[in-house]
Amino acid sequence: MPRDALSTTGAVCAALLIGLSPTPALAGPQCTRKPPAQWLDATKFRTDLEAQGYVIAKFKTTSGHCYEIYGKDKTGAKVEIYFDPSDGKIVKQERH
Amino acid sequence: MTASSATAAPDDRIPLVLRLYHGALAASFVGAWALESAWREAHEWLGYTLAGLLLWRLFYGLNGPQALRFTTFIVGPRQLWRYASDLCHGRAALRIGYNPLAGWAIAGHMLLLGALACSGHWLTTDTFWGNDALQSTHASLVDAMWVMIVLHLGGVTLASLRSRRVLPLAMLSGRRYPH
Repeated sequence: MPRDALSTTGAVCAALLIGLSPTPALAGPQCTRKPPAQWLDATKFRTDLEAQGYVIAKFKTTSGHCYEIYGKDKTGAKVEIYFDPSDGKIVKQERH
Repeated sequence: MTASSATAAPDDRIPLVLRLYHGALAASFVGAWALESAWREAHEWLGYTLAGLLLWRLFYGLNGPQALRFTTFIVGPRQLWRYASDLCHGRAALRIGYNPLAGWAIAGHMLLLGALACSGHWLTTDTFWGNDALQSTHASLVDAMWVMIVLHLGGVTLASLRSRRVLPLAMLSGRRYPH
């Protein structure tokens, strides 16, 4: 019996492994379909946010076409915010 | 291959508290995974729940019933190798309780989940807020955990075939079968 059992188990494992695609590394949202040429200037956008009281520890352009910041808002709460880079609207926000 | 003559006494069940722990652990991992982007608060609370469950298991593994103590089911490399080789040759005896591979699988699950909970907590601190390296570590640990779960399901499937019992039922009813 073991040979059969082993091959069945092997098949089950293989099927499960194929079925499970790896977790996208903490995938963020999709923010805009507009081409980067129509996006706000990143440096200026960042400066504007700082003028609004955000302390920005990290500013990135994500694979989902967002501007994303990690930092603190003016109340001192830790925030992670995704912005639509074409109009600067907040798409998603996490606070801590 | 014959079933070991030791059969479980009727009252010798997997304790309800361990079955609840197993269910809660699985639910909090899968829940935390599923809710990561949609509901971050729930993700975090499920992560802390998971950490609490692990701490309980750690305590239980040191002070709980003999069969469920780490010293009972985590065996040395030589015994582990012998069991694996017996298994491959189809001559591993059926037995009640965790087999050596299962014992190490439990340790692997607990270590991965512990690392996940710690890295997850650190990601919420000022120091590591938005830290890329820690974020990808956390994500890789999740992938490793899924691999672990697939191995676990594969092991349970193999053991079920060997024992001709539907072993996952043991985690519901608590009835132990030689496997």
